[in-house]
Amino acid sequence: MSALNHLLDGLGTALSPTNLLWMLIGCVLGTVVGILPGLGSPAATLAVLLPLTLRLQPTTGLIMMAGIYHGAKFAGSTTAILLNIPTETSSVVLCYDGHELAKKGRAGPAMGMSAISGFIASTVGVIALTFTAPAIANLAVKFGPPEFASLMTFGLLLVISMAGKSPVKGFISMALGLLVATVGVDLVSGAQRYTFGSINLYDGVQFITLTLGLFAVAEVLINVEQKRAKPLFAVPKKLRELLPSRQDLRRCAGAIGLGSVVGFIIGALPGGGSTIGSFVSYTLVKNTSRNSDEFGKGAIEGVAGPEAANNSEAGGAMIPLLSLGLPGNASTSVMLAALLLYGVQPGPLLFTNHPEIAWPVIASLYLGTLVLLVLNLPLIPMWVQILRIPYWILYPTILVLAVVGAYSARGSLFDVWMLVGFSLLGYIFRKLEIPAAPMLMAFVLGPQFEVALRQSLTLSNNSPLIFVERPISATVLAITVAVVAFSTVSRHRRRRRGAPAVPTTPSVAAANSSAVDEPVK
Amino acid sequence: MKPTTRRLRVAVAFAVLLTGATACSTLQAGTNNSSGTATPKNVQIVVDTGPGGGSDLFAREIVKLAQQTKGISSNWPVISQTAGGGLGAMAYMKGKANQTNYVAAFTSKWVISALGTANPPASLKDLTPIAELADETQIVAVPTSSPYKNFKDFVAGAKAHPNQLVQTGGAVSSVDNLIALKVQKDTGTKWKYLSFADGGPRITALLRGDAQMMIGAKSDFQEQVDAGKLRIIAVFSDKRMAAFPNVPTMTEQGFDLSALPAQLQFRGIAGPPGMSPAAVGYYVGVLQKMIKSPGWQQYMDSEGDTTQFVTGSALTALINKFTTSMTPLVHSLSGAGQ
Repeated sequence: MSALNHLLDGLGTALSPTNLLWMLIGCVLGTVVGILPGLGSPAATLAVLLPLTLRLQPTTGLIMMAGIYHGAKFAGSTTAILLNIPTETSSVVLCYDGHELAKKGRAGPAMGMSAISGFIASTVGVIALTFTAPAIANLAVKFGPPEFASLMTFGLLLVISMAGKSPVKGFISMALGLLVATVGVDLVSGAQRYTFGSINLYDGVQFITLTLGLFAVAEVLINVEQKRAKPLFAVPKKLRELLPSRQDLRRCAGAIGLGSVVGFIIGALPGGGSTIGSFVSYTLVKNTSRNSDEFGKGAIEGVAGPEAANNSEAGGAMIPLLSLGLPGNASTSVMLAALLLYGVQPGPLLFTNHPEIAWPVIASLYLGTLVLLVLNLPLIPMWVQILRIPYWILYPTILVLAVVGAYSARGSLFDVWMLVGFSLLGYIFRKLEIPAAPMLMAFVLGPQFEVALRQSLTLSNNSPLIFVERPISATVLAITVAVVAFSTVSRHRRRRRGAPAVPTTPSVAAANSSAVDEPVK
Repeated sequence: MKPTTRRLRVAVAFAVLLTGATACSTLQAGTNNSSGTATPKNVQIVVDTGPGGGSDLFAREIVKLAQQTKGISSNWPVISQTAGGGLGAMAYMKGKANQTNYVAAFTSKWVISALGTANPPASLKDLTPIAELADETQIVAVPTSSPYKNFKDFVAGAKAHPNQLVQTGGAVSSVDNLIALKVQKDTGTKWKYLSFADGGPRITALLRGDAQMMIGAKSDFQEQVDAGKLRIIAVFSDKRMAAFPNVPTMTEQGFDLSALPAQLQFRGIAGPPGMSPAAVGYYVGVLQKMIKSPGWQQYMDSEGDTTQFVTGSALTALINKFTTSMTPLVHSLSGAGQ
């Protein structure tokens, strides 16, 4: 198998001491950038570092960029788990269960599981990339607007199913998210929507502003309301409690497998990206899990599934980039730009013309997750110490970071005022027990759904039949109907059986045991 | 806990947030004004795309080459103002009136953005044009399997199947759609336009067969042409392109382009309103030196752009002519949208 030989050659190149050093620097840099919401997205970091990486050998430069990409991704999960602040769209899902686990004193296992499932998934991703690239590239090309619209229908329907106790409140949150997402200049018609003539709203609302307000600041507001004598979180003392247990691993095996496959395939679709991947993976894992009642209250599979998708996505995203020359998301588009600046044209001929660059990049993507695993598992005890910081230091720090983060996203003071507004909204949400995550997910998925829907209808001259006439789209819709029906039926059946819900006061024991039938009181 | 203390705590936390917001505004208001100096210091370059976008990379390339050619000694940080396809960047520049240390990397798109908006906050005419640097020739691509061997075939196909064929591209107001609308009007044909925000999905729409044609730049198509997936069928110019010597121009194929501007996608550098002639002269000098470097030529070749160094009144005339010829097209667009 020549693909395997090339990959092994690539690994050999990537493993040279210089390359490893730059990869390490990249991973650390990416982690720092990802952990501070103020420093901007990995795409921005990659762009800022372009001049520096151009002084390195092309392979070394690209390897360093791959390190940044991975480091920032992992750091996004860390802040989501520890502080309930998703600094990247792909880590929003982790706030559901990751942060709940942290509240129960299981931040360590959640972070460990995030690193482990990330590593396993990127192994799956890189193997799949090596052997299935041509086949997947063909599938990716066949995935057009109608297919995308069907996939988004799947995503949006499941936003409500994740809402928790009250589907109505979940729906309210989702509807608000869709509304906020419409703000800006419409791509298809060029018309302005809800901009009130203000140039600040032409580009719509920034994700980071919304997320910092709804999650980070709202969390601070809610917490300062109650005087806290004891620390916010239970911080485990024993080292063993800082890492996932063997039972956790066994519980998550299925979730990791499912997440890896879903993330890889969705990552390969041009415009797919890890947000949709992690989200679809979460809902699939939840709906196929025996412990689906625990989701949203601190189920470790709820970390493993999306994190697996989030990482195997990198392998998938390389397929359109390397085999078609088309970037799948912002970070790969910066890598595309870097390739161009090195004078390497990525495209269908990249593997033939420049194997000395293509394969080491793939290999380094893989090594990146290994470096992160090695780097992060020993560091977890240190990260968890963040939770020990007294609130009178932690909260002002979070507020400062939130303001800086909102401002620096595009250097606009208007965004800081929007942050203030969304913080108030987030506070009201918490008071009324409306979940904020559906709003954020709808904000991310809504515009993509809208554009895909309108593109499809343009193609079909307004006939909705296009969604069932195209085989891939029809398949996706069928899966959607099946999953929704399955989860409705099983919920109904559970209710009839009168099975108790998960205990209202979550405990470490409940999260650890896989038995759902634990008696309440 | 007493409800009053509770309320107090929320209020205090909120006050911290507001203080942060006000502190930022004071900072922003306090940026120094360095007008009047001979050599502008702390120059910043404003672009309309995010990191990694076309104008961002263009600006970074200029800064890199200007440093290499010793035109400038310090790095120019890139400021991205992405709102409204150039409107945000132009409004930002308008706010820096008379300052000499701000320049913007403008594109012809900025003219169209201002035309398509009822009350634009700023337009390219408000700014001080310094130099045009490059023009990107627009070419037409179809899938290799397409029955259309030239643009005449495509128009004939559109006549036979009205409102069935699909062209893909960016926003409806982008130049590729506007020039296609002109051809449709001239030939009495009608085809559809499929918008994608990013370049990747446009190419896959062609490869998948959802779209039959796309107007774009050499860099959009080169790799797919090399791989035998796409074919170039026309050049939107009266001169053939060196990279595709066998592809006939639109004029050769019998289409009248005289109502369209000669340059359709140009890039250049502009200063804020009222920039002093001395400062304009300084930047012209830096850029003139830069475009003579082999690095610039290499960059132009890889992008498929041609160097067009136009300054002073000739540049103003160029922008004015582009504005006049695009105005009816942009207006027909908003009429159709109602």
